[in-house]
Amino acid sequence: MGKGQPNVTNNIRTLRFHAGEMTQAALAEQVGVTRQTIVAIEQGRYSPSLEVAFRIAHAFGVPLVEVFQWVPPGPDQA
Amino acid sequence: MTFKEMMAGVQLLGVVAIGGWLGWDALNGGATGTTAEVATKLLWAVGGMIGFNIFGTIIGAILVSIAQGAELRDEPADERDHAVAARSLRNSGIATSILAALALIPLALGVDANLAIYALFVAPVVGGTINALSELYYYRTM
Repeated sequence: MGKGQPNVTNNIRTLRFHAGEMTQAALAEQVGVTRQTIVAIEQGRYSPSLEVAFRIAHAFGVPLVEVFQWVPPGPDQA
Repeated sequence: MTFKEMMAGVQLLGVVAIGGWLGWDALNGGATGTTAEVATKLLWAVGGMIGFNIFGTIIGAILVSIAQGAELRDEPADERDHAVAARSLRNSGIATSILAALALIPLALGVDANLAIYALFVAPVVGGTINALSELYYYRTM
């Protein structure tokens, strides 16, 4: 993780809604992490490893880019 | 509250309780004595902390379970737990190293050698406290 504001955003909340209002606990169990980690990722406080990111995408059956997006830093952040 | 956060809280309470007892004892003239006497007292303090952590964890798990209305159980650590633990241990190691090194200064200046016994106790206890505080901080910010 870099310093300052994270530039990685995610659509996990939306994807959970479209997956039949999947609970954070259910997603955590599928991915193999704790519910607190899913909460932290969803809120953008924690950027997961590449493997966990792929597992989350796999749990929703979508490509990685539909779950996570990276916003290039602005001139003041670079 | 997670089990790991609760354990960090219990550890902090243990430091406050045992540190309070040692402080009260020191104010009543208990800080002096032979090296063996001081070391024995600090060994009792270490035992007290271990006992406090064991019983505090059990009682804390029961109380938090009642408050949350669901059994509080420890979960297998995942990558975020490992990241939190690594950062907390780093902070703890830095604090312990600095304190241990600083303790040599008064000893070099000829202060009572019993200070070394206290330094042996205080440096890791402060390190453990920094570790617990860091865990509580990182679990809320990352």
